[in-house]
Amino acid sequence: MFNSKLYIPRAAIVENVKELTYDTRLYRLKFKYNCKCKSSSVNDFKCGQFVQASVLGAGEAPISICSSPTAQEYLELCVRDVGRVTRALHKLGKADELGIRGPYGNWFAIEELKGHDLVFIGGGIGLAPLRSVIKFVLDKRDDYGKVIILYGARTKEDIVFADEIENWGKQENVSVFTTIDKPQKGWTGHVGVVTTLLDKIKHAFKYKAFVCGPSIMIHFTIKGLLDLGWAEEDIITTLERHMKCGVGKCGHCYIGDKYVCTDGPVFTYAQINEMAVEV
Amino acid sequence: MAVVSKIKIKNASITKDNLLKLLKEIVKEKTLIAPVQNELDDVNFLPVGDAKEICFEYENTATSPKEFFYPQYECMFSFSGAANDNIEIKDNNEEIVLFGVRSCDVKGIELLDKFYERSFEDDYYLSKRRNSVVISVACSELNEQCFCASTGTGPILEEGFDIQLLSNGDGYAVQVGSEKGLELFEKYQNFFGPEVKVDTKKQKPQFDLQKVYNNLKEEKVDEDFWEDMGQRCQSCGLCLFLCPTCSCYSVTDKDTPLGESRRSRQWDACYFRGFTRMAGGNDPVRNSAEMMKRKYQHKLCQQIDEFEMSGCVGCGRCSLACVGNVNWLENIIKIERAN
Repeated sequence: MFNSKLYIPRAAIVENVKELTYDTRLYRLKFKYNCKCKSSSVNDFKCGQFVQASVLGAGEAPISICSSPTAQEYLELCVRDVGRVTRALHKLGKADELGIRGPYGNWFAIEELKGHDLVFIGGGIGLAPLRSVIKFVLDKRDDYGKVIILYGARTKEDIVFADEIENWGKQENVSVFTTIDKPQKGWTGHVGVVTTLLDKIKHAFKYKAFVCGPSIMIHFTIKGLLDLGWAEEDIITTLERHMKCGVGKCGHCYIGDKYVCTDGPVFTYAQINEMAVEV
Repeated sequence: MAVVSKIKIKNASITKDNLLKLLKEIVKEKTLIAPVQNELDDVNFLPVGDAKEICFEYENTATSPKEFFYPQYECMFSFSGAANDNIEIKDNNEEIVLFGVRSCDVKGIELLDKFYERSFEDDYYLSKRRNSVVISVACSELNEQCFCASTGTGPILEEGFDIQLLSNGDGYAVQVGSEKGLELFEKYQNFFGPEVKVDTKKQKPQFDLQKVYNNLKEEKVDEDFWEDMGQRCQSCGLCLFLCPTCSCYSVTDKDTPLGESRRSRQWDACYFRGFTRMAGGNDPVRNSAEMMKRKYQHKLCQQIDEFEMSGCVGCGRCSLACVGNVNWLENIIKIERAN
């Protein structure tokens, strides 16, 4: 835990800001002070966990950690300017301060999947939590088998981590397929929503599939994977919900007997089915 | 550390006169909170300066006592600047004695204790609870809107209370059920007399909770039922604010007129539009019918699974308050009969 008191955010400094798209930025953070709390170092989290990011005065919002714990020195958050808190976050620049609570939630059980082939399917900013696992896997390349990444964005301007995606594709045993929803001038790649890329992984139904994106994208991607023969427990997704506390108290993220903040956000499709939740 | 450490029940008695004297003594040392009747005849829990102010003749208080541990508005911390690791939370050392709580509300508090102790401990709630003792007064019979006999939460409790009083006409039988209760009992033991007999026969339940649980779990209830309820619900949230076990909150940052900036939490309700809506506009709970169903399933299935007690304690306040005439008891009976 980064914090010594449950609801008190810990000061973090923006080390670097990178414009990813016209409305999305990548913040690299480190903590301002050491903290007496247990396991307080900045990379003490697991892939798939999130933090509550505070701009005091504006509020607090749950944001996925998009760096990998294999990066020793920092924590990265990918923030899209979409609401009150994220707008305030976007006003922050290098050396500015924000508050961090966490890390919260469960995680992708990536360490238990050593030796497996993996497919990652991301839509829009949904690539952010997947990036944490992708980076983890690529940093421990020998531990994992083949990697396929399918990524879709609305337009070419909406593609996040464009240069990283390109680099991932150059690595051995990693295939990357990118698409945008509609044809666009200057785009020579695949066109269509991300599910139109699913035929690239027809053969891969024994892979573990990680899916994250807008709920409609998750819905149709999971449907497509099931049609291709995927087992429900091999489809792993991470859910987004409105949250205030991150620690199972405020009630906003409660669905089908689970608190997404403490029981999730990572669920297999088999679990989601049991919760009778539609994605 | 559990908020209530149960002990083997110790029996005693107290006369009406001595009860008043006891409460007068308690006022001298601790904050006493008890039912008080206002000029509009509403009875509510209020801090009392003199035990004479206490109302002893009431069915139940209009609002539940949860607000003394989980206030409607609560400052979590004050801040200045961008962030601060050294924010101190003031410890709450005020010792309170809550007198006149009905059994349903004792069970409501028990559920909140379990809720705030689970996974992450919420010190704002728990510190207030740890400094409190509850003296409950069991109802002699069920009131018109109540159904605690069906939810296993009254009218007489078998466990889970600090001190329970049972009326026997002239005075009360006294049962001490926790370490905190025993501490208070021993401190003021001169006011108490020997064990007396009291009628503790059980009231007949209006529905079978297990059947309700099964029907909800197996989704046996027709969708029309939820849709009808969704149409009646005006999303005012009153039922949830009055509910002794509802605990959802929202968090806001605000500047006060005195120049202090605060992060605070205030009660929120899952029947409010936008409760689950995310930045960007996506709302996973799509309509009122789903909102209705979610609450019934939460209280009558999922909380039973998690806490081994009903999340509805049968106080009936929600039914009394509803402007859309949504009646919990009637609805639960409909759920019980669904096939």
